[in-house]
Amino acid sequence: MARIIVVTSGKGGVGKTTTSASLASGLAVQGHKCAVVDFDVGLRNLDLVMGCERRVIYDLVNVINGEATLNQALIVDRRTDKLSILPASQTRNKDALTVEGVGRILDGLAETFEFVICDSPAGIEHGALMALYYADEAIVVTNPEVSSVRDSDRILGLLHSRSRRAEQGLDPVREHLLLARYDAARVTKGDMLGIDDVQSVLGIPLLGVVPEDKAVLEASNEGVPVIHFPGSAAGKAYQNAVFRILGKEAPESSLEKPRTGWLKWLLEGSG
Amino acid sequence: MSLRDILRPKPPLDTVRAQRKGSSAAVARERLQVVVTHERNHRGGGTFCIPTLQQEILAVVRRHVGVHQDQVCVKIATRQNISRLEVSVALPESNTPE
Repeated sequence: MARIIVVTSGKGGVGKTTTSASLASGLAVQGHKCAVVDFDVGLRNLDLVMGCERRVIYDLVNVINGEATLNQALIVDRRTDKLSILPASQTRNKDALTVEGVGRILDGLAETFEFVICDSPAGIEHGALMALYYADEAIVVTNPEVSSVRDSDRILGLLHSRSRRAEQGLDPVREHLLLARYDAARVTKGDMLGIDDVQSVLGIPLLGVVPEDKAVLEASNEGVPVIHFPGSAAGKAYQNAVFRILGKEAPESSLEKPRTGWLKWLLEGSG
Repeated sequence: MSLRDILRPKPPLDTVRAQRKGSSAAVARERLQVVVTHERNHRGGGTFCIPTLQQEILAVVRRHVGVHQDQVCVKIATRQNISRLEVSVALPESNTPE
């Protein structure tokens, strides 16, 4: 049974595509057949982050419209053949996605792949709803910043009300928090929301903490998911998140440590 | 300490602490908790409605003292699994019992 995981956030620019690319790559490197689908119709970018932009022939909308088969549209990753990418259309608009069409695509992918990662567009409109509709699990990418946390909470509301699991009264979508662009030094200084602060507002379990890291930009410049930079802090953090998705123990990175928040506050007392 | 001191509206504890520490992160957390709780209630996921609660508390208080709508403040802060309801009523000087 394939695990369908949506990577979502509400707010744009928080690291959904970076996260989708790295987690999918990491799962494939661990030997799991994985497909990553770009739902950002009209603003395709996963292909660039994955470094396969020149190999795109058919896209998600072509498959939905029956203009290409799934196998024709899937691009096998250069680094690991366990990973395939299904790019978004660059020329259509988001209304080309339908519940039935997306359902057929995901059913087709679930026959071959163990994991299907759905890279959601920003916003809470049609494209984002289509990306989360069939999800079994959701990875909510959040930056430690007020607008991102608020938008993540909106997305959690949509997962509770507009997903297939919610509509059909099935077990709810399993939610995970992935905190990105985290700066432990600023948290210690009190300039940035800490892990516990964000968790106390959103109330969902933590999958990982990805530190602010120059390697993320360098990796996207080169079209290589940052998880393939094992020396980088962000690469290590994504690797740990992959282990946790697979149910393995992962060490808590030193960057995840300086925890502040309600527990510290409680211990310090109100003074 | 007089009764007036006890009844005087106090700013939320988190805000006091944030101001004392000069920590913008604590201010951010406090603001988020308020706005997120409000939005959750608004979209129907909440167990009760803050505006209604505020109206009803105001009605009860008005039976005893004349206060204005703006003088009743109802807030909910959620931390882990514990929600805290804060109600502050600013009593007018002339009606405050000595």
